[in-house]
Amino acid sequence: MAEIEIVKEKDADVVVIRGEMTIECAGALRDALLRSLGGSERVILDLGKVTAVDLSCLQLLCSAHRTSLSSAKAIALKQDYPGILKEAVRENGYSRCLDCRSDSGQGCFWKGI
Amino acid sequence: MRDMSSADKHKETYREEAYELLADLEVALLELEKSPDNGELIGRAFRDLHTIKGSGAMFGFEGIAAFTHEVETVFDLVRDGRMPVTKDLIDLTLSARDHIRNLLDLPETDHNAAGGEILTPLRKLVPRDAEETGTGDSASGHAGDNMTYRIQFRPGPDIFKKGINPSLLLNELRTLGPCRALAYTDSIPKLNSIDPETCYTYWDIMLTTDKGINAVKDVFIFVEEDCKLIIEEICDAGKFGEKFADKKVGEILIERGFVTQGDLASVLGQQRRIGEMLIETNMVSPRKVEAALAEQQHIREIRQKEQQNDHQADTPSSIRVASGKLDSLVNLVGEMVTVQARLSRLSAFKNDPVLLSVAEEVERLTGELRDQTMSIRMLPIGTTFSKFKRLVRDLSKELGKEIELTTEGAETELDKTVIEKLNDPMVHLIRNCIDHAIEPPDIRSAVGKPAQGMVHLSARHSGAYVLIEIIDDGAGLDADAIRAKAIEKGLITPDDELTEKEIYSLILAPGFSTAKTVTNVSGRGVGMDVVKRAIDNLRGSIGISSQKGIGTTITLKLPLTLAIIEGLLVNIGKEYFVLPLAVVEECVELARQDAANAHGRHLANVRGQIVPYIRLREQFIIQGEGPEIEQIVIAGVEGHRVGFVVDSVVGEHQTVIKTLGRIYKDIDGISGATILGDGTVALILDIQRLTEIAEHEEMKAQAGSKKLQSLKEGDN
Repeated sequence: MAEIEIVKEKDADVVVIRGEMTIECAGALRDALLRSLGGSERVILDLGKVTAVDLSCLQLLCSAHRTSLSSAKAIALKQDYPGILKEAVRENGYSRCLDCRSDSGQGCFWKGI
Repeated sequence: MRDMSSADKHKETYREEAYELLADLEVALLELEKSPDNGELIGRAFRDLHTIKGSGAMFGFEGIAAFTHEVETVFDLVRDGRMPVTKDLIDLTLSARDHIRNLLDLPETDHNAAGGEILTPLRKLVPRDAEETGTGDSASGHAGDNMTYRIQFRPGPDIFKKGINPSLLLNELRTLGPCRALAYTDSIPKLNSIDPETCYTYWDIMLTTDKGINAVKDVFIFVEEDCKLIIEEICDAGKFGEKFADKKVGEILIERGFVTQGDLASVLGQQRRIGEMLIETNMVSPRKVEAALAEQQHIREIRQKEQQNDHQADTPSSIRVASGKLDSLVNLVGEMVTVQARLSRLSAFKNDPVLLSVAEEVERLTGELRDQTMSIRMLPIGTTFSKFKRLVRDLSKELGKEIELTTEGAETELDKTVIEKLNDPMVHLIRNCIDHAIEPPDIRSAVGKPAQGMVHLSARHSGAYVLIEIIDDGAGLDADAIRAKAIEKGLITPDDELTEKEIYSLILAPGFSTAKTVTNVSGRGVGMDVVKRAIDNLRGSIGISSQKGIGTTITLKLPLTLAIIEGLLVNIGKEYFVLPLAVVEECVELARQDAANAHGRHLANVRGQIVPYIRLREQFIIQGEGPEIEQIVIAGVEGHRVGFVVDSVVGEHQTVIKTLGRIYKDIDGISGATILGDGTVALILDIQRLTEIAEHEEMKAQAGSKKLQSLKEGDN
């Protein structure tokens, strides 16, 4: 079960997740992401200490990105994300080379991972 | 040679290949008998049958193709796990294998009845339920052929709640072959309306596998009722022709139903990428274009792999050459070696530096050519060994014995001529083991041995020789019985004192057999002398050791090659002789005075060791007297050192062995001849035989002197 913490920084909310980012914590993760995106213009996801990622959480990250786009906010991954995330993205067929939507111009959360 | 038409050549090639496949099939079946669950062996047998059938039909062997098809069909069921490997199945398949061989050997003869005798019981082995489901032979999507599938997988939204993780299914698909999965995320809602425990993702998957469509469907077996699953084959037989490799993104999009031909036509003509244009005009989502691109990429990669494989198949690592051509090549190399010896001799005589350097170069090249040519002729003995597995199986069954054949050193290489000529003597020896040596199971159990007997074949290199051992754990040889039989046959007299080894070697005499009954396997006493003759002809020797009740070991010592050997050239008077260099240990001098000091005994003291020697001048009755200081060439013969006295040692010599003509075939002590650089003929010494002759004469002389002694004592 993952630990989720929201660290308020000057210009962004940093959502720090530690441990197994799986369906067991999907509800809590959704709430945390909703809260952060509701309160901050910029949300940074710190997954450096994540030890497992499953499809339900990939969907949530995708959903959060989509939510941020619709409300003109920004959500981004902290660059030191673990290899395990990369693996989960590849395993679940989430890797992308094109943007999700032609009209967004914002790219896709999974592009480049 | 009669010119063969192209069709005849193809047929001949097919026949050769079929014989090899049949040999492999036999090995696979015999191994399968021991481990009936071994899927790899089942696959191997199936592939052999499949190839025999397929190529047979192609080259006009319809009878073989039709018959093999039936057997293959049964094996296909085995491969699919729909029927088990049983002893009956192995027996019938082995008979079927023999039948196919007959069809190959005698294509003109009518074999229908014999074929029917095998197929009827074979068909009866097929369980009814397996029959009903059909064998699916050559049906599309059947396991064995590479096939590419486009899979659309949309799991039910509550798949997570059922405890199923779709990514595990994707991973399972990946185990079947090259796989590319693309997730569609367009159904994922925003955070405020998402249910974290609902699956919104669906996939487009490209998979290339040889496991068949059923294996693909099996992955989804637990979710199939609760998902949308479409599996399409996107090309037949998995082989992508150019057509598939060059498929355009637009074509794939149309094929997938993402865009229409009209949509495509409307954007064509603009000098931009079709995908970009379609996305821009909102005709298709980027993800769909990406899926089409992935499909294109997947096909390209598979195609590339196929091309690599084809390329490897086009440039094989080995080629098939008629053995007659190899024999001619060896003969030519032999001539070349002789000419090279002449050139070396001439250059030494002329003492011209330019000629000398050319002669040296030619000598080096000829040596390499000789080694290469000889190595081409070397074959692993394993092919011969594997033939015996069947022999042991069938014979032991026939005689009601349980015997296991084990082999060792199958990779040991021998000249192909030696291997070819070794087959018959080996068959005789193994038959003898099975018939005479190994006791029936009840007797074995009674004496505390395992009921199953063992015959072990081993091969290993030993210098310029290969040692082949046939070891059994049977009753062992009965020295007394052999002696009694030999006296009865008049081979020896009751007074003869023989060592155990000599007694055993009596079994190699013509007409000798101690078997009380004659079976159709052995016991007619025609085997062992034939074996001896065959091994002698190969310039080899037979050693027998045995322990009563424990078993017998027969050792065949065979030269690596029969064509060219390294020899030591010596001369006696004007005559030249060659000793095989492999047995030569050293050369020492023998002064006339030292010989005289030995009081007529042919013994030399070599660094404190007494070595008996044979005076070849006396042996071959060469006129004239030897020089003051002669040379003793000391050779190793069956673990002993024996000297051969010659006038002088000339040096090493590449010896191209020429067989002696028929008139000379009974000459003892000479195994062949070779031609020297100046055209002189040198005889090749049969060291082993010369030693035996000397030993025999020595024994005769000793027996004579004993007789004389006892006569003298009688007179007194």
